[in-house]
Amino acid sequence: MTCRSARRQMADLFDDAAVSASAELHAHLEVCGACAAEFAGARNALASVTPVERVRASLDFKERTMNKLHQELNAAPAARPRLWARPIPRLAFSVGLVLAIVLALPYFGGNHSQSGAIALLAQSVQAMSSLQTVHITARMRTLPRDNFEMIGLNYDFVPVEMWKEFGTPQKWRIEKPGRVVAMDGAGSLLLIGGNQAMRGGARTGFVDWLMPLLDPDRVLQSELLSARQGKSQTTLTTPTDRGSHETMLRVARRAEGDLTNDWLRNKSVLESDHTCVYRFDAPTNRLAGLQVLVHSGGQDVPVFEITNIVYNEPLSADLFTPALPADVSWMGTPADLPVTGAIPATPREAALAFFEGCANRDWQRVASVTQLSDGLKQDYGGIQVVSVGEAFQSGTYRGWFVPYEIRYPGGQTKKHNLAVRNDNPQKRFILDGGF
Amino acid sequence: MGWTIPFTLQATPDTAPMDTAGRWPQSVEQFEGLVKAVQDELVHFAFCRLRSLEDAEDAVQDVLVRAYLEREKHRTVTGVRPYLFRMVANRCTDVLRQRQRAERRRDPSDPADLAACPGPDPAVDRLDDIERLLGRLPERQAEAIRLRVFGCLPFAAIAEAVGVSLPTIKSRFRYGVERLRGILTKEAGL
Repeated sequence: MTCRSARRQMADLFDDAAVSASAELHAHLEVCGACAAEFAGARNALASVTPVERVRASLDFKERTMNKLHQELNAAPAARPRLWARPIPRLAFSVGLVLAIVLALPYFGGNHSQSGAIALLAQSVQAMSSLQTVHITARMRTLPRDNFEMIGLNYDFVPVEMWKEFGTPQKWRIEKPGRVVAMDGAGSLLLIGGNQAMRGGARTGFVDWLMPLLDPDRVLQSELLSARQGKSQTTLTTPTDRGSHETMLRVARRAEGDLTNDWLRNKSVLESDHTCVYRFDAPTNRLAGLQVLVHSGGQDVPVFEITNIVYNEPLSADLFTPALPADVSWMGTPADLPVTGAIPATPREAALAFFEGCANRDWQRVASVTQLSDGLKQDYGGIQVVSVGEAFQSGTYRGWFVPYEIRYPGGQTKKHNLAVRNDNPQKRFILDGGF
Repeated sequence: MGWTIPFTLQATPDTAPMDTAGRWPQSVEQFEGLVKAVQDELVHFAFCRLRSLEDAEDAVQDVLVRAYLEREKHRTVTGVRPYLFRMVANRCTDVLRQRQRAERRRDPSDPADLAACPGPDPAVDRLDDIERLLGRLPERQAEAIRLRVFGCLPFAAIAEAVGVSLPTIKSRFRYGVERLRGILTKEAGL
């Protein structure tokens, strides 16, 4: 292949991952430094016009859109002067929400009166919408330092604390031992182990499952919609039923994602069959507690429990802007990884680049798939690669897992699955954990 | 260690993208499925252009509702997803023009306008920079890059959305990237 035809085909390298460029083009880039530099330049140029974060539609977007469609369909016979020239006001959504509650009632089980349920849920939503701050103390069966989604049925409970200040802009912080994420209204900061840090935007996905808990009104809406759509089984028990001051809402949900390979089953709340037991204070209708039970092997294992919620307490501004340590080490992004040498084109190739690179202390090869550190070189330099298997997917994880077995220089062996993903703007296969 | 390093700052949509050969929705149930499948990617695409989540959601909502109300007209359309991206792109252009007109009418000394100025948002600032760069490219080249980078559409789908051949869209993309490199090099003073 000539350089001229290689450059003419270079756009193929930026096409969807499912549409692969020709092997001839890849081979040419491996031997032609000038074309490889052209490719790197093009990729850097594209990185300059790639947004740093990806926004999602609001949780109620589909509901609002369906409401608007129904309005349009109902209004269709009459004249429709500029109906969609204005956004649906928040009040209209609240009306829609009450309607959703009514429609959800057939999906509720339990012994309650329908009117009581309507009143409770509508009032709860109204109570939550006047929040100024919320401070949640909880405990979770997870690992310190590791990501906020991870659970393990045999792990010990570790403390989790969350704060949110409502208003404009909203600010929040979530913390567990060895891991903190704080969003100060403009951007977020992730701190791991005290000195590893990464900055992100206001909506960067440092936290997933826990986030909705910081919007208690959204949790209720979400559960209502979920019940209405038949995605969960919901039971409401009112105070008169139990003779207490609390109302309980039990929401049972099946594990999400494709668990044909069940590697991720029960490793996060969403990827487990679980029940959320919400408690509401009856006089104020405020969320008072939550326990999450994972169903496994005929047992209900508690994996998350809110132990205290304080509403509208004054929060210090410092809470949302954690101080950086003097020895801060900034973590990179895929855009920071070098583009010299062969770039893995599959999850397994990425795993091989990592393990074979470590085995041979070929750090340039390792750097093509992950950020280098002294600790990584020390722990993995000179390992022996026993096996690297075929990649598989599991649960809702957007990447792949590559099974491997390695032997450390000291003789100890390790069998595990390496997490690899390429859902980044550069579409590069990079390591995401599991080592 | 587990997967502790969140390398991926840009997540892909929750739901699998719709088949580009999917049929136009002809029932409310099909429409609801369509909204669920495309809402995140369309809102993200519109947000990149409009730099306001509220405006982006309004624009996408308008397009989706219109898409259903005009379902008879589009019954024969086979590539629903690219077509929706084109509709959203057009709607965003309309919104941007409306903003420009409103901006021209605005009194810059009006204290109400000054008070309404939003605070700094790095993500939005970044989008401003991106649009400033793309605004210096010929519109067709910028459009190809936007649909690929913001919309994550494969080139085949972009060609379908824009109504040109696959080689044409790849050429526009390539020339756009080359021009972009030139602009960046010039700005860096190299």
